[in-house]
Amino acid sequence: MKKIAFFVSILTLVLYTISCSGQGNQKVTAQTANSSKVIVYYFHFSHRCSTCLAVEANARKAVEELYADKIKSGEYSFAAINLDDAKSKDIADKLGVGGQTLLVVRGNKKIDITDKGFMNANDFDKMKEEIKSAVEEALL
Amino acid sequence: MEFLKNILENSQYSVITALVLGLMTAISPCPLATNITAIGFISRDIENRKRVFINGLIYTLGRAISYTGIAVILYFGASRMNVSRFFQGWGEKLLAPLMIIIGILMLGVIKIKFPGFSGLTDRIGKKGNGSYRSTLLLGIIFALAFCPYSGVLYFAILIPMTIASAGGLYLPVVFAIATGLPVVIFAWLIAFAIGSVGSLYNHIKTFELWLRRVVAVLFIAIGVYYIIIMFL
Repeated sequence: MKKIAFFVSILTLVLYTISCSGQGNQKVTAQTANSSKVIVYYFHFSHRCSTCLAVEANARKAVEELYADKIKSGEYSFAAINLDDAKSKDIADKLGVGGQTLLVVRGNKKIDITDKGFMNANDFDKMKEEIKSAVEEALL
Repeated sequence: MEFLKNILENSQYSVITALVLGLMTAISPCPLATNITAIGFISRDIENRKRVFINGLIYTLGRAISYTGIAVILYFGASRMNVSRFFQGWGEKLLAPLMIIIGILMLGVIKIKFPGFSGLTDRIGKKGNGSYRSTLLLGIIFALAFCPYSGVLYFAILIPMTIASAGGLYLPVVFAIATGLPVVIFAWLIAFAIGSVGSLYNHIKTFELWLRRVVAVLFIAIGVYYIIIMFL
């Protein structure tokens, strides 16, 4: 039992260390440049499950179908970012992303629809609805 | 899965949501490999079905310790971004070599003593007193190895519900019970089935020894499988 208590204590210590180093990063999020551009981000890791792949495919398709004109004019865009890629660190830190996330961003506004995205990963119509309402909320 | 999603969408009570999220984690193909290993590990004492059942409960307790521990740390203000990135990014990657090491040590090919992990690597045929302790450790470790899907269910859905108020801190325990439940049921069924056949032929000791060997090989095979899908 002592060994388990020791293991749990070490784990707690490690978690506190990594979590405390992140407190400063959240402040950066508030300083995100004010922009009118709407970006739908999908963050993921290199290893992905079938649901994760479906989230990206359907979210991308939904954005492209809903906002074809605005994508052409450069006002809206969809970006899939691999968190295992070192280059993604800056944007992930800036947006406060720590894992797989589906996020609608406009300026300082961030609408996190990861839960809805994953629940409706294979239901394209519902995915479209969720993205549409998140974009509308970001535009308010 | 669709049935569970429907319950989730219509659920008014967070306890039901936590339960459904746990079941979705347990039956999704994503953590299936670790679940199979856990079933093998828990049911390795087929001679004693009661022990298998208690092992299952202890494994679930181990999972509850991990899930609640992370939730408590996040509740007290730790950065969700960093904790989530650490576990979702590293959990599965570290699991693969760990499983191979445990498997090799269980087979007894190499004899190395790791402080704190001696119970997990108890050699085959040896009935260590650390059996329950090793099962608890396995529960703690396997829960920390978040795969892409379970990571989202836990960090993106359960955690926001849990840390919204102190009253929600029991939810990870409900989630852990649901993630452990199918494993416990299968382990007990296997122990019951093999135990019955074994005692019928009076060879239960042989069955147990072979089951332990199979479990050790299972650890190695699943570790290799994870390395292939993660790094190759």
